[in-house]
Amino acid sequence: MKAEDVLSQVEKLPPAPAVLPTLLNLLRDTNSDPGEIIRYIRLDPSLTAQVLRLSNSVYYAMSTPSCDLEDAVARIGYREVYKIVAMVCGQQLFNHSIQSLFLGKGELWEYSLATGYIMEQMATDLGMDAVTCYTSGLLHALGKLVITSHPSMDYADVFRIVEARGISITQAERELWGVTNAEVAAALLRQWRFRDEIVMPIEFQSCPAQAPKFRKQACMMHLSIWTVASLGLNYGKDAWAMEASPYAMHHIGIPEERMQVFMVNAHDKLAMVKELLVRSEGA
Amino acid sequence: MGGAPSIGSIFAERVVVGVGDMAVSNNANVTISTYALGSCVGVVAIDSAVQVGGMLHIMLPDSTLTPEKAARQPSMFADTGMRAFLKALYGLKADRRRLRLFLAGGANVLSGSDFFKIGERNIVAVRAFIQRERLSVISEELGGLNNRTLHFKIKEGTVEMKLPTGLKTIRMV
Repeated sequence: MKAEDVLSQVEKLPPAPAVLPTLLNLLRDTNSDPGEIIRYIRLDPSLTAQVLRLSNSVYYAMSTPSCDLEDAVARIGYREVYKIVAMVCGQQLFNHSIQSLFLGKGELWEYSLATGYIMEQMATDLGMDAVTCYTSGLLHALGKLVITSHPSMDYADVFRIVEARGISITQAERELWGVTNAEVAAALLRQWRFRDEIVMPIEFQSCPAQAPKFRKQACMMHLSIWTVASLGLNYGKDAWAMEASPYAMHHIGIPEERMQVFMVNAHDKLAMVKELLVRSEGA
Repeated sequence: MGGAPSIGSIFAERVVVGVGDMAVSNNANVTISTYALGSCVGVVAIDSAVQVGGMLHIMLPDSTLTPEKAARQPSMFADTGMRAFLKALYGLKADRRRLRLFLAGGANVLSGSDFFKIGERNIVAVRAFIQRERLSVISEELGGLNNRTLHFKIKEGTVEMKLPTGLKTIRMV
């Protein structure tokens, strides 16, 4: 089966975070009109409300709250506004429970967000585009969402193979279906018009050495998934059934101790964001 | 069944230990829980003679990685965490010779590579500390491919260990 076949056989695909690829393009274009970014966010009233609520939180240490998007953008900057938008979109996509993967409500979202944070830190250390890497991290588990909605693909079969033969989930997916969740995610993201810079690290997350382009980002993704697992955020059954590629570490060249610091930072940031969201939901 | 709730159940308390955190108590009605031990190692301790128990959720093996963080949150690291944990237990009159420990967690990826095996390093660091302090470990559930959640009932001296697929009960007394 091909990834495109999986997409065509699923009755209901996850809702497209349509705002993200356009916003990313606008952010990267130094000539783009700031008003256009604001107009684009404003197309979605609930998104606008959440951006305002979060930008007014203690995290950004505002003395007086922003009452409109222009004000919020002026205070915290476009990149931070984009990260809030991406976080909210990620929450809409990933926040529900998935029984077939043994995932409780919010667990896939926490995992995705933490992966985004680790990607962002690695990108900053390596002098790469942190916002793009953050977005890749946030969306990398999308394929699992799609597969769990497929009428005949059942993760119970994958877990049986994993446990019987001690192989990784990705390898079991490939043997059983001929396609992996990473490839399904990539196909859907291409359909949603995300750029290769976002898509390829996701597509080659489990085999970064094979990425024809953006190999460094694919290695970062591989290591980020590994690192987030070490934080205990890879919930679900057989969550540790993954192959770790020493190639990725050698290619990136970030020492293990530095990765552990990323873990500590991501742990703290996630705790803060969760508290923030609970407060803003209660407000 | 049914009828009025027992006094114990009315005063039952639940304490949740987060990643890099710990809790100790001499209230026998307390249940201490921690969620999603992956490569992290959970240490459960009980001194049933004085009904003192506690739980520690270690994330990393060595506090020298970031001493500032270790000073603020010693429980995050095996070395500083174990010291702080024992100090807190002894503060509630637990005795080293009577303490019984249960260890869980330390999951690892499949790869044979030695790199980034934090689960294994956490286990080694905790065991080294336990050996130095001559503490008694009564049971271990370490390694494997799954995250584990623990619920420790001090009064019963039992740990309910939840895996994605089922439950196991460990008796510590």
